[in-house]
Amino acid sequence: MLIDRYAYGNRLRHTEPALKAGIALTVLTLCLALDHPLTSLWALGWMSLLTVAVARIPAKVFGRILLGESTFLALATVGIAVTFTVATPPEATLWHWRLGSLWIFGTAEELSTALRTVFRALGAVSAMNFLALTTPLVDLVELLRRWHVPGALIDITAMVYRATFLLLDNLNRMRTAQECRLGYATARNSMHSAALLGGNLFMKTFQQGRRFQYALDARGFDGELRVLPAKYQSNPTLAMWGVSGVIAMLGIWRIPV
Amino acid sequence: MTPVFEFSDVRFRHNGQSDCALCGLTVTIPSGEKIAVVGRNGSGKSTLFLHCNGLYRPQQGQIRFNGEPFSYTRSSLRQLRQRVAIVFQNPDDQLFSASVAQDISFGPLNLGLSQAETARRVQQAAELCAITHLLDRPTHALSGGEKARVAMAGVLAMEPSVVLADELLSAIDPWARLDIFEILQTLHDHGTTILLATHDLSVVRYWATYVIVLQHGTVAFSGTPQQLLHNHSLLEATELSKIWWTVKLES
Repeated sequence: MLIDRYAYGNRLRHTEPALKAGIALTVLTLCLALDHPLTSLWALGWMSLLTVAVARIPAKVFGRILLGESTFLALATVGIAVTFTVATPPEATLWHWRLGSLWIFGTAEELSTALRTVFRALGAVSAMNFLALTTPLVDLVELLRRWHVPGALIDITAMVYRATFLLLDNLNRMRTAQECRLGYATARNSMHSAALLGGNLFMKTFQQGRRFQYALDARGFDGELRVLPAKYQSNPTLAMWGVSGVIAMLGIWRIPV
Repeated sequence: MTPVFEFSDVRFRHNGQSDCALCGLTVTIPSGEKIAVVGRNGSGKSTLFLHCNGLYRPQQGQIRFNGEPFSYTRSSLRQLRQRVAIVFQNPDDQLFSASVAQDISFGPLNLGLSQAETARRVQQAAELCAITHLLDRPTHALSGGEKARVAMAGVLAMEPSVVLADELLSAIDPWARLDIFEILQTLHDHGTTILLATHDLSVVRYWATYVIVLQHGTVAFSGTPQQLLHNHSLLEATELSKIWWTVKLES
């Protein structure tokens, strides 16, 4: 929801979404294809700059989102950097601990692979963050429509997006109502309250879906959700930034590490 | 003048329910009026409206629109829904699109109008409902009153000759209600027939030019507000005397 709020309130809100998606997808592809730590670091810095300085997303917000993703990535790469074994570790370990018969160790090669993976993923993720924080889903849906993605898929995406907010709204209301009547007061009671909430939410969502259908039919729905395409502004400055950034990425890729 | 709707002995029962929602309902709904449809919860107001729009089909009886019997073919329903629009009690049931402008454009585009004509209608409906500043906003970020006005704009962009508003006023504040009444008055001035389902007798007294009282799925009264409000035994019979004091207080 935080992302959604900033997507609607940033300086690149009305910029052509194809341009923003083009920049983000190019950076993402280069990060994955080139697999070069300096290129990935450059992508991370450059995407952060575009998001914070150009789109004017608060650095704190961008940092918080990136921190969450970094933590997840760091935990995920622990498996690459650290080896657990009962056998004797190889000679060339960077560090090792012994806990009884269990050896925990890491080699320089494993650490290098882990760091490369983290940088590569962070570069790619920062490109996705740029797109998500500057482009509301409605614009992305519009873009998919222009790219001739099947209508049914687009309609489902749009409806799921809208339904998510209704679902959360219902969920919050029900939870508050339960808490007011001492729901979630004990561990046992919490399980019971959550189960009741889940069941009610399912029924409510089902009924909401039926009412949605009536409302759509009442306005002449015939199987396709037709809406007016939005109008966007071109942004030559951002396009220039995009091209320069990609050229710089390719240049950095030539630097040996 | 030809009545806009004629219901003859219409019966309808919801799936899995033993009681009928409409139990032999017979009523003639005049054209060009501001009609208040009054009745307790479960009296059949919403079911009546869903029949008017062809969303429900009577299990027995007949409905006529502008003198012609209802036909439930795809093309007939399309024509009917072009002329009869419904605004639902909860705007969240109606607003499906991510942005306000796109949601309003849905109806006109379904009528087969061009993008230019649709854009003109979206702008016109937004101006009438005073929501031009909201056109770019996501629908989930609107207040209750704003959602009600957007839902109203969504049906007005289809330029219907009949607007059914199902308890639209029940969940909005008095200021938003005034806005809605202004919109309804403008529509009425342009010859639109308006049916407003309500529990509020002050709407009957100060706004409506015609009243239909529903009770247990049948029509207990239909006529002018004066005929209803000055007839004490009728108020008693329709159980409206119990809430009549609220109007007296307001006056």
